[in-house]
Amino acid sequence: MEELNEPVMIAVERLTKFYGNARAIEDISFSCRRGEIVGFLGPNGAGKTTTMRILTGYLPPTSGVARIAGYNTLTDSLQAREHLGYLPETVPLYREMSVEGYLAYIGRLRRVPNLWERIDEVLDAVGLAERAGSYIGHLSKGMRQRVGLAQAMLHNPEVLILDEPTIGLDPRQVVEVRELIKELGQRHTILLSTHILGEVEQLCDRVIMIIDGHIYADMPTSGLMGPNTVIRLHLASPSRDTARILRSLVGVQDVTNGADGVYHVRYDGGDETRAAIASTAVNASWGLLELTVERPTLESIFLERLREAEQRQAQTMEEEEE
Amino acid sequence: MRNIWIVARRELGALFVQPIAYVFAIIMTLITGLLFSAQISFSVFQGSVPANVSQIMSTFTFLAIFFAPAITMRLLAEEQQTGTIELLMTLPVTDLQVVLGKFLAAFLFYAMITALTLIYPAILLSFGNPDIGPMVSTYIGALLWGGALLGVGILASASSDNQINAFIIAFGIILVLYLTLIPAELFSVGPRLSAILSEISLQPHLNNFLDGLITAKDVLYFLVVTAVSLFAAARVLESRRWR
Repeated sequence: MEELNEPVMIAVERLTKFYGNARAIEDISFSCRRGEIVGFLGPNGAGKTTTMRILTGYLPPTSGVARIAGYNTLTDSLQAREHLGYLPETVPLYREMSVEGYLAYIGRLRRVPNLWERIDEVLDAVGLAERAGSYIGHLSKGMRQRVGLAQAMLHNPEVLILDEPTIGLDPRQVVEVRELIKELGQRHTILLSTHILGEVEQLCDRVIMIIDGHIYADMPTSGLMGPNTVIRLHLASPSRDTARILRSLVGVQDVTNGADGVYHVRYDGGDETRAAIASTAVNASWGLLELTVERPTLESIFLERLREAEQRQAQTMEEEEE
Repeated sequence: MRNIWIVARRELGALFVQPIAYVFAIIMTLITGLLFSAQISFSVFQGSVPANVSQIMSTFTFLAIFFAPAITMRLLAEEQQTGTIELLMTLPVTDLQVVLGKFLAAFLFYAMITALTLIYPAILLSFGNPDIGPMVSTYIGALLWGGALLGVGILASASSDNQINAFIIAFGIILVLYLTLIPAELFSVGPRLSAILSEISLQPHLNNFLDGLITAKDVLYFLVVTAVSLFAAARVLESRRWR
């Protein structure tokens, strides 16, 4: 894996944040390397925004350390901020400014060289070149979102932190922004939060699931999909022995019998096994209607994790009651 | 320093796209203009005190008690309300630079409105032969006074994400600072407390300038009020995130 040689751009060590007595996140650790697009996934209130705010230096952690490009976000805050572009959840725009006036303001504070050229570049990239002179207050929500994105990438930062970057965009814009993020991800490190699972599947190399302030999973998105190990068989006229016969095939691990002639066959993932299942179904004249390989979707994995988390929470509460 | 100026420039731009800037300019020139013409006619037709700048600026500075908080109320409260503060605080800019930039913008705006009243000394100088000294001290006093009021206003704006609250807090603080003179002069609070109260009060320090007197103590008083307010504003801005 060449990626392992890339330097770590975001490092989070045992981060904990309390708001008064309320725990927002607890003991969170992860790191992201250059060229990685990492999806931050979790239900509302899980602690995604809090973690991102700590990473950007906007909030101090209660304990733990966050580093951007090697700079501690608390003690070397200004240096950390220089290496960082940030799109907060509520896009921070001044309604009374023009798009280019706003970008010029941010660019001056960020000391962007050749500022006006860069503004043109960035506006091209987000598809707003024609609205450069428009007042931000007159723009649609999707356009404002893109102005926010333009602001975040203006200084070509090594690390981009995007809190729900595609929210409020229409489908076409979503596709455009995703393409843009993917392109940026080749040279930058991007941490983006979302609760659109498909977005993570499409965009991210890695996914970090955060539930109730804890990390529940941190894995590559490819690993998440795993080998496709379940086949869904839809049969018009299965016999009573169908499950038994399928189970007897080499490579088949388990067969569950659903309603209306639907069978789920768990197997070793080999093509031969799959072919054997198909030919068996045909030769036995079960009336094969459909044979599909079921991919475990991000949704199903995520919901499973969420259920686990809730069960664990219920358990600990019971234990506390005892 | 450069960051302060960048912030100030944006803020001035924002001020002038809003009607409030022009409304203030009009109100201030209207009231001081009426006062000036009344002064002239009184001194010409009734032979009272000759028209002078310190009387006009005394009214001007009194009106500033209302309009200084109105200028500053927006500056930080709005950023906190709309969430733009989150961006500003994650740019490579310190909290103090932000506060100072906002202050500079408010102060420059105040100075511009103050400059509008320079028409009156200009008229007096072209038609008569008034003493220039008190005019200069009056204007220095008016600027220092404005700085202190705006500083308090910024502090109030930092401590709230609601503009109306920011206005009321600033106005309240200024009023307290203004009114400590009353117990000092009217009630028998003892000479010691009375002296302290009138030192705290804003008004006596300004009066010296209006009378043509510039003392280090008065200059220092306004500068200290301004500086303390601004540093406190930066701390408040920071601590609101820490909670």
